[in-house]
Amino acid sequence: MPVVPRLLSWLAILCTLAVGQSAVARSACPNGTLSIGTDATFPPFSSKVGEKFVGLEIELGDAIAERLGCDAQWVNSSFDAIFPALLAGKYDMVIASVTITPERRESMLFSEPYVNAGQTIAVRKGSPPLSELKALRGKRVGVGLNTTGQYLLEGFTGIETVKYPSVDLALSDLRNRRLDAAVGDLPVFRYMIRESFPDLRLTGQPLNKEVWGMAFAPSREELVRQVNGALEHLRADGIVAALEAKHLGTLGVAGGTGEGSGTNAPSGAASSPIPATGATPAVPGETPLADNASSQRPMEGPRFRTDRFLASIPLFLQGARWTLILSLFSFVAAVPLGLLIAIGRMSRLWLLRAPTTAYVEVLRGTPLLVQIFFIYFVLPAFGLSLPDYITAVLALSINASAYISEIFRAGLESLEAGQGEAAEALGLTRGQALRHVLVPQAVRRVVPPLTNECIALIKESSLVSIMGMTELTRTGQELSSRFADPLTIWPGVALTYFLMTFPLTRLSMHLERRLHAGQRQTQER
Amino acid sequence: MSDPLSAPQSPPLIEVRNLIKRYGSLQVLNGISFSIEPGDVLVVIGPSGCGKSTLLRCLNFLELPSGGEIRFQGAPVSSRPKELVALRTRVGMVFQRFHLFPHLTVLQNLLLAPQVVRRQTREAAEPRARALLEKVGLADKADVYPVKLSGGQQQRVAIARCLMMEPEVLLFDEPTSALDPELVGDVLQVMRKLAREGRTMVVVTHEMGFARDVGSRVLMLDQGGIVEDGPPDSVLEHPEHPRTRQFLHRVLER
Repeated sequence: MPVVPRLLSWLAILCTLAVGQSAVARSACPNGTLSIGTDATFPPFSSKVGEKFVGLEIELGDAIAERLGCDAQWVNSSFDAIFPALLAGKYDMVIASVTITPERRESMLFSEPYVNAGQTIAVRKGSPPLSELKALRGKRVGVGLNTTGQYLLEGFTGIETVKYPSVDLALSDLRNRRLDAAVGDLPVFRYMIRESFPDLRLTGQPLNKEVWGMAFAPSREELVRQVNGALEHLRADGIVAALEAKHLGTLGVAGGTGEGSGTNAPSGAASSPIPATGATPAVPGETPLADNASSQRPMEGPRFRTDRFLASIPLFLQGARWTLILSLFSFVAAVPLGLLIAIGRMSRLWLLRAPTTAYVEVLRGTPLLVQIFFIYFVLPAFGLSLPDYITAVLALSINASAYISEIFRAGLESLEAGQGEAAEALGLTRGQALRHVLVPQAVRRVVPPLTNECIALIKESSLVSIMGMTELTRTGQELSSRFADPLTIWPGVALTYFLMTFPLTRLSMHLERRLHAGQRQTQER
Repeated sequence: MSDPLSAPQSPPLIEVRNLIKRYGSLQVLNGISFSIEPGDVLVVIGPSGCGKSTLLRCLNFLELPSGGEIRFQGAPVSSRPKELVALRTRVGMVFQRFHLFPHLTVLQNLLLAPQVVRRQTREAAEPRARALLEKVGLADKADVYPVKLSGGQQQRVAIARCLMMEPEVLLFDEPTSALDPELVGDVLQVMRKLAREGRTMVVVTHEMGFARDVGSRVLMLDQGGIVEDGPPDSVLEHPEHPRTRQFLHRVLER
C-alpha cells in the first residue's frame, strides 16, 4: 500500500517541524498569561485575603511574569494535588514553597532556588526541648502531608509520623497534646506560632538545609530558562532582597543565594542556613518569638476568637456560595442522568442493562475522592482539559447520578405492577407507559430521598476542595492556616454547612410526612 | 366504529387453538381451544388457580403464550411488539384492582390513551370521555382524583377508560372481587348495560347471578383445561362434570 510510506514521511516532516520549532525561543506566554499554581494556605509566602492572593511568593511571581511580559494568573490548589495538576498541564509553573529534592527532580524541572528554609521542630512550652532528630525517637510528631518534613522524618526510623493536610492542624494537635512535636518549615512555623500558638515554641536550629524552587513540567525547559533569567534580573535589581525584607525580615529567613544543591543535608551541620538578617536563630529553651508585638501579647491558651469569627463571615458566605453553585449544578445534571440510568437498568435489553449496572456498581463501589482525582488528573492525560469548576461539577454529578439512579429504581419498583400493565393494556408502548404513567408517579415518591441526596451532595462537594476550588471547605483551610486558628474557623465552616443543609432536612421530613399521609389515605379507601 | 350488533362474520372474532402457557416447569394452561363470536358474553368460572386470569391475560398478550395460536378475525397474531401494541387497543381489559392512574384526574385517566396512542387532541376526545362518564354514572367526578373515589366508583371509571379506545372485545378479570359487597351492584349494572348493547365480553367472575342472567356462554376451567363449555342454563343448572358440580356447590354455599 503506497499510502503508508507517504503517511510516515509526512509524520517525519511534522516531527522535524515540531522539534525545530521548540528549539526556537518563544514568548513565555503565547496567550499573554502565565498561569501559576500555588497553595494559598501558606503565609507569609502565599495566602489569600478575600479574593486576593498575597505573600512573598505571589509578589515574586507577579514580578517574574511582568519581567517576561505576561500577566500572572494565580491558580489555587491543595498541595497534594499541585504536582499532578502541573504535570497534567493545568498551569505553566508552580510557586508553592516547594523544596527541591532529588525525587522531585526526577519528575519535574526546577528554577534556581529563591528561598532558603530548613525544617524545624516545634513543641509545647514547658516540655523538654527536642532539638535534634534523634530526640524525636519514640515520639509522636506531626508534619504536613508530602512536605520535606515528612520525608525527613521518614528517613529516620523510630519516629511515629502523623501527616496533616496543612501544618496548622499539626500545631493545633500539638497544643492539644495529641502530638509530642511538629516538624515544618522554619519561617512558616514562626509565623504561625506568633499569630496563634503562643503556647508553642521552636526548639533550635533548623534540622537541614533546604532551598525552595519554582517547579515546571519536564517539557518546559525554555520557560525555566526564561524564569531563571528574570529571577537573576530581579536579584540584581535588589527586588528579591526587598521582598524578603518586607515579608521575612523579622523572621530571619532569607534566600538570595544561588545555592545549587537541593538535597536534604541531614542537620546538626555546623553552618546555619539562615543568614543573619534581623533575628537570631532560636535558642533551645527560649521563646523564639523575637517579634516584639507578639511577645507583648498576654499568654493565652487556645480560645474561640469571636472578633475573627465575625470578620470571617463574609468569606464563609462566599465559600458557601460556591458550594451551593457546585452542588446545585451537579444535582440538576445528576437527576435526569440518574433517571436515564435507572430506566436502562430496568430494561429488558441486556445491552442497556449491563453497562448501566456496571456504571452504578463502579461508582458506588469507589470513593468519591478517588473519582475526583481520576477525573481531575486522568482526563487531561487524554487531552481533555476542562476548567476546574466543570471538572468539579462533572465529578460530583457523575457520582450522584449513580445514587440517584438507585433512588429512581426503587421508586419505579415500588409502583404496583398493575400500573404498567394497565397502561400497556390500553395500547401504550413500554416507553409511553414509562413516560406518562410510571415516571410521573415515581418522581412524586422519590422527592424525599432526592432531597436527602441533595443534602449529601452539598456535604460531599467539600471534597473538591482538593482541586483548590475555593468552596466552603477550602475557604476554611485557607482561613485556618492564614490565622493559624482552626479553633475559630472550623466551627464557622461547620455552622455554615449546617445552615445550608438544615432547611433541606426539614423540607425532606415535611415531604416524607405528606407522602405517608397520602399513602394512608389511599389505603383506607 | 363497527356496529357491535352487526351479524356474525364467518370467522369468529377470536379463535383460541390449543393454547399453552408455562411458567418454567409449571404448566398453567394445557392446550385450551375455544372461540368467541361477536356479541358473545363469555363467562369464565373455576376454582382459584385454575388458569382463568392467565387465559384472560393471554387474550390481550400481557402474557405471551408458550404454545398454540390465537387468531383475531381469522388472522394469526405474531409476537412482534408493534403488532401486540396495535392489537391491545382492540382488546380492552378491566382489572380486579382497577389500576387507575393515581396522579391523573378521572377525566385525564380517560383521555391519556386516546391522546398518547391515537394522537387525538383533548378537544376531540373530551366529549366522548364525558359521555362515557355519564354512562357509568360518574359525570360529576370528572375532575376528581381516583383516591377520592370508592372502589366501585374506581372500577366504573376503569371501565369507561377502557371503552375510550373503542375495543372490539372487553376482558373483565374478576372486576368485583376487590369490592365491598354493597358496591358490587353498581359495577355489575354497568356491565349488564354493556352486554345489552351487544358488546363482546369475556368475564372472569364468581358472580353466578351475573353469569346466569347476562352470560351467553359459560366456560368452566379446572387445572388448566376446559371441563365444560355451554349456555349458562346447562352448565350452571345441569352440570355434566363432577368437578363443575363440586365447584358450583362450594360457590353457591358461600
